[in-house]
Amino acid sequence: MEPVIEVKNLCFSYDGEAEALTDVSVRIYEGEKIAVLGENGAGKSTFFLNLNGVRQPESGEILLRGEPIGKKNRKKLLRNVGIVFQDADSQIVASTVKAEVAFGPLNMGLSREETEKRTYAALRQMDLEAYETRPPHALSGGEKKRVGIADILAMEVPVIIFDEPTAALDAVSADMLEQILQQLGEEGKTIVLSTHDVDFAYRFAERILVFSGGKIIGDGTPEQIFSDERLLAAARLRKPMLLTVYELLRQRGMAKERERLPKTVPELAGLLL
Amino acid sequence: MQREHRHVSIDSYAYLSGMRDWNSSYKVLFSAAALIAVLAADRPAVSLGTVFYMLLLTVGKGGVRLRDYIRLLGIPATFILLGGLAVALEFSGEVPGGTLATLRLGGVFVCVTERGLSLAVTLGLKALGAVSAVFMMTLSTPMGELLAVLRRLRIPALMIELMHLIYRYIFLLFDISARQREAAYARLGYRDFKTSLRTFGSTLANLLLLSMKRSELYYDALEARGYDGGCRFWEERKRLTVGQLWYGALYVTMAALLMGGL
Repeated sequence: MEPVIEVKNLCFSYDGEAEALTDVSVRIYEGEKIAVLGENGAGKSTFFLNLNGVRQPESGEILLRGEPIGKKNRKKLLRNVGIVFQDADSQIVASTVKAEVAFGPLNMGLSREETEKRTYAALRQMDLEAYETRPPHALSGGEKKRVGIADILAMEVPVIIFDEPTAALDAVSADMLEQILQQLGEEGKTIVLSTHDVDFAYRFAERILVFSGGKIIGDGTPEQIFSDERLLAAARLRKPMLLTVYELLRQRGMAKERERLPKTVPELAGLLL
Repeated sequence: MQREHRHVSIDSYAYLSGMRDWNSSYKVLFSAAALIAVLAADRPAVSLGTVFYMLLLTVGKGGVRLRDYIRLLGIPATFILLGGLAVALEFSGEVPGGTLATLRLGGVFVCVTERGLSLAVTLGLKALGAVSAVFMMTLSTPMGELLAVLRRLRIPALMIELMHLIYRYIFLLFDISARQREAAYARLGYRDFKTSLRTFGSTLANLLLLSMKRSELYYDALEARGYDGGCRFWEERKRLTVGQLWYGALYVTMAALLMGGL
């Protein structure tokens, strides 16, 4: 199976000296739900900007469906990989919600009709139809985040990157966002997201990449990653609460031992003796 | 209408206006025509007629509350009044002919002459009429639509893009500045005049640094969505209806009648 994006030995630095990314190699397959974990400054955001084509690697290669991406064809990457920025205020450029969501499709050179069709579809999907004429500064943080996602949905890119999507969101907005991400995953979108919320990453992701000091130091299923105590310590990560509780219950003989670890509270309840 | 909108800023009137669905180019043309009529006619009747017509249109059709409209118009009106006073008053060593009122201050007479008063009223009404015409446009047309009209008028794209980004940035910076002020206030940053000045300076410097940092993020976000040196913004196309034309025709008729001395 050909990966939708392949990163080979990627190195990148902002000032030409200290490397923000060192020898990063990874294959991302169609429809995967990947969580990228790591402490602040580990290189996650820089990795995303390289994946999207905003930054160009100093050395190494990025391949889109097997085609190497260089300066001349980096627009292909922009048209296939969308990025939802952590701070929606840094992303939103237009003076109304509708104009904001239409910005990407217009830049892609789409017709007015197609742009409007996609814009309304994205607004509907994000439950933002009633906000179409509002100026961005009149929206709440959660609403702005939804506009940021609608921006990328309207571009209809197969790969969507979310840079800390749940950061600064209240609990209800975070739950809503998780549902949206699940829905996008079910629609076949490839989702790559960074988060500090290990509980969310454990629940949501099928695969986890762990960054530390600009390098990938772990790549595996959530069960593999969160069972590796040394890796967790190296990346300054903690175990998801659900796993900690399960391990405690198992040690005290109150839960069944299973090879497949529980991912949700009902699954954990099903393992209680 | 959504009167309970949370944000209170000058452009919120435009977003909530009952005239928002009017054709933007027509509104700009209407406003410009009224402005020219007021300046060219040079008659207080036309100026006064324009002030009332624009008030009726903006409040009656646009739905801006009369209290809000008067409050907004009050700011330029204050400057116009002060300017009018400077024109109306004459300082002289002796009382000139045609004086309506005089005040003696030592050896100097402060007089209001018939000619000076007439000029002040004409000028003041002219300025107020012009401001009302512009208010009709700005209180009913969101910035994005105004910029679209400017683009159609062949204003250079770079200027339009800059205006777009500056407009967006103003609200972001206001927001950051308000939060900084609150944070400083909570730590007694405004406890006396001297401290207030120091805090004000620090917050301004910090605002500059934050803006520079944010501009880098902004550029990345623009590039990530295909920005290649030219921003393409969605422009709404609003129909010009007979109803809208009637309001223009009514104004032209009124101005013509007033110009001809009724």
